[in-house]
Amino acid sequence: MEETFNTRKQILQEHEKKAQHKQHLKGKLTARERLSILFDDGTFEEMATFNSPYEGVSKSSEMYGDGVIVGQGFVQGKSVFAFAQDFTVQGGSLGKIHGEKIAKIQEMALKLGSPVVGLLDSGGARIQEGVQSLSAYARIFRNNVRSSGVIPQISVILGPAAGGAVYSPALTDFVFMTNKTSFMFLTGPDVVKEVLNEDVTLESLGGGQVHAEKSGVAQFLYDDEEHAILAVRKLLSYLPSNNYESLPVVKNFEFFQSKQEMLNKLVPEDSNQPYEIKDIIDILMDKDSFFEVHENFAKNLVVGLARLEGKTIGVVANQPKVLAGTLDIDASVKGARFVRFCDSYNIPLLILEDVPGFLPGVNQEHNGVIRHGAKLLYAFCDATVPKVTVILRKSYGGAYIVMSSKNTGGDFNLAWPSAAIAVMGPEGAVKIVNRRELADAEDPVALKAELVKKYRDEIANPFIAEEKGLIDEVINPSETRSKLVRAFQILSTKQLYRPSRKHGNIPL
Amino acid sequence: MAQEYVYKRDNSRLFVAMRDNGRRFKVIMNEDKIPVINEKEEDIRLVRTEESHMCFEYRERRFHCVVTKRNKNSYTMLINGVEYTFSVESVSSYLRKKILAKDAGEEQDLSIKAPMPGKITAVYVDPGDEVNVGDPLFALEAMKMQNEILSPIKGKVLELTIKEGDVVVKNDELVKIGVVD
Repeated sequence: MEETFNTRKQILQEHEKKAQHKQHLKGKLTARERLSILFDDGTFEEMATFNSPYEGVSKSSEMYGDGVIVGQGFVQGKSVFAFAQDFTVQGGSLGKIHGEKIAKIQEMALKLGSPVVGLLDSGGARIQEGVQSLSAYARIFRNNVRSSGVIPQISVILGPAAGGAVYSPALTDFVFMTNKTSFMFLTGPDVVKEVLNEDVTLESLGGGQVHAEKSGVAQFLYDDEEHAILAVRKLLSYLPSNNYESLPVVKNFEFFQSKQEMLNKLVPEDSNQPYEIKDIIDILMDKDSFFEVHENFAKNLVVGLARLEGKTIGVVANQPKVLAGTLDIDASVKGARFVRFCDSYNIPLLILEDVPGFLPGVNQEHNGVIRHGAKLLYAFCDATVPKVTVILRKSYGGAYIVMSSKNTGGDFNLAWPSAAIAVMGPEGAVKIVNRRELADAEDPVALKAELVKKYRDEIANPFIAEEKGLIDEVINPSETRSKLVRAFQILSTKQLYRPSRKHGNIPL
Repeated sequence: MAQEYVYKRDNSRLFVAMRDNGRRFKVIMNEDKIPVINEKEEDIRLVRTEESHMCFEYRERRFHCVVTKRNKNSYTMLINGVEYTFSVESVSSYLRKKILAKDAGEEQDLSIKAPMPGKITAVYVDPGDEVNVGDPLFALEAMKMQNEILSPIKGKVLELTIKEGDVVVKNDELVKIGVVD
C-alpha cells in the first residue's frame, strides 16, 4: 500500500519536472503551478488524479489523469472548484475522460454552490477519440449553461483554445487572457488562408489583445499568467459563491475623505469639455476598490465592480473622454452583459450618467444599434437589484431612458446641479423648435444664443425634472458618497418579483 | 502595496521593480526588517501614511510619495514632485518578460487614425517633432466634444496629413509616428 502511494507520488513529481522544463521555456507555467497561485497556500486537493485515458489511446505513464488536473481548494477561505489543462500531456487535448473529469467538478460545484475556475491550455478535441471527445465538450457546455447565474464561472485562457473549445469560455461569466501566449479562434490561420486566401497571424487573428479590444470576448487581459491568476483571486473577492449567498463584506475600508470636495469642480461646466469618469468613480468608491471589467473594449462605457463601505456594487458609467460618452453597439452589449451579471448575483448597481445620446451613423444603424441598444434597456428594466442613478451632466433622449431612468425602475435617481436632462442637446433643440424664428431673425446668432440659454434654464434644468418627480433629488456633488451609502443601505431589503414566466425574451 | 502581486503569500517577498527607462531593482521585503534592494540592505523607513500620500525616510532625507496612477502591476508615482513609472514583477513574470522579449519583432511605425468622424480644431505637433507617450497630437471635435488625441508611443512625427479645420472620417490616417532608437 505504502509502496503504491510512493510510486504515484514519484510519477507526479517526475512529470512536473518535465512539464516545468517545457512550459517555462515558452514563458508559461505548468498546470500545477497555476493552481498553486490560484488557491490559498496548500489548500488544493486534487481529484481523479489517476483516471486512465479512454481505451484505444496509447497508455504511457504520462497519460495519467488524461491531461487535466481537477479539484477543489480555498480562495480567501472560500471553497472554489477548478480544472487546469496540462499542455504537456498530448497537447492538453480533450478526450472522453478529460472531459468527464471537468464535467464531474462542474456538477459538484453546482450542487454545492461554489464558483468554478477553468485554466485552459489545450490544443482542442483529441482527434483519436473522435465523436467521444466532441460529446465530452457538449456535456461541459451544457453544465456551463446550467450553472449560469447560479455559480460564478471564470475562464482563464493560458494557451490555445481553438474550435469548439472556445465555447466553454464564451458561456462563462468572465474570460481572462494573457498577452502573446493565449489565443482563441473558431478556425485557425491555416484554414483562413485556405478558404479565404487571407494571411493572418495567430496573434492578429485571436490573440489576447484582439479579444480584449476588438471582439470583446475577453474581459481581462494581463501581460503574464501570474498576474492574471492573481486577478482571478481578486475578482472572486467581490463575488458571492452562488446566487443565494449574500455579498461578501470587507470590514476595513477607507475612502478619500478629503477629495469629496473636489467633486464640485471635476466636471467641466463647458459641456464640450471631456473629463475622466474613472477619477470620479475612484473618489466615490472605497479606496482602490474599483476593479474594471472590459477595460479595453467599448471604452465609451466604463463598467466594473467596486466597494461602497466594504460592500460590493457594480458601476456602470458613461465615459465622456471616449466618443463623447455616446452609447454605441459595443457599449450597449458590454453594459447589458455586465448588468445581467450583477443582477444574477444580487450585486446592486450604481449608474453614473453623462451621455449625449446614441452614436449616430449608417454603420451603427445597419449593424443593428436598435436591437443592441435594446439589450441594455432590457437589462436595466429587468434587473431587480437596487439601482441608483446619478446624472452628472448630459442626459439626452433615448440614452436618458436607457441609463436606468426613473420609470425604467430606478430606485433613486439623483442629479448634480450641472445636469441637463432633455430630449436633445440645446443647440439641436432650438434649431428644430425655433426654426422659423431663426430663419426670419435679423441676428440669428444672437437669437440662437438667447434661445439656447432659455432652453437650458427652462427645459433641460435638473430642478425641473425634480419638480416633475423624475429626479428624486438634486444633490451637491460633494455629498454624493454619503447619499449613495444611505441609499444602498436602505435599499438592501429591496424585494421585487417578476411576473411568472418561463423566461423573458431578451433581444439577443 | 506589492503584497497582492507576490506568488508566495508568506512574509518574505521577492519582486523586481522595473522603471520605464529599463532600470531594474531586485527587492526583498521582509516583514519588520530592512528591505534588501539589489543585494544591499537599505535603511528605508515609512514615516507616515495618509489618505493618498506616504512619507519615507532614507539616509536622513524625507521622500513624499503619491501614487497618481495605477493599472494592474504598473504604477505612476510622484516622489518629491518628480514622476516615476514602474512595474512590479514577480520572479516568474519577470522571466516570462525576458523570454517573450527575445521573440518579439522590431517595433513598427504607427499611423494614428481618426477614432471617430469629426473636425480637427487644433494641431499641436509638426513633422519632425519628437513625442513621448501621452503627448497630445491634435484635438478632434466630435459629438460636440473636444477630444485630445494622445501619442500612444514614443517616437518622431514622420507625416502629418491634417491641418486645423479639416473634417475627417473614421479611420482616416492622420499622423504617422516613427520609432526612434
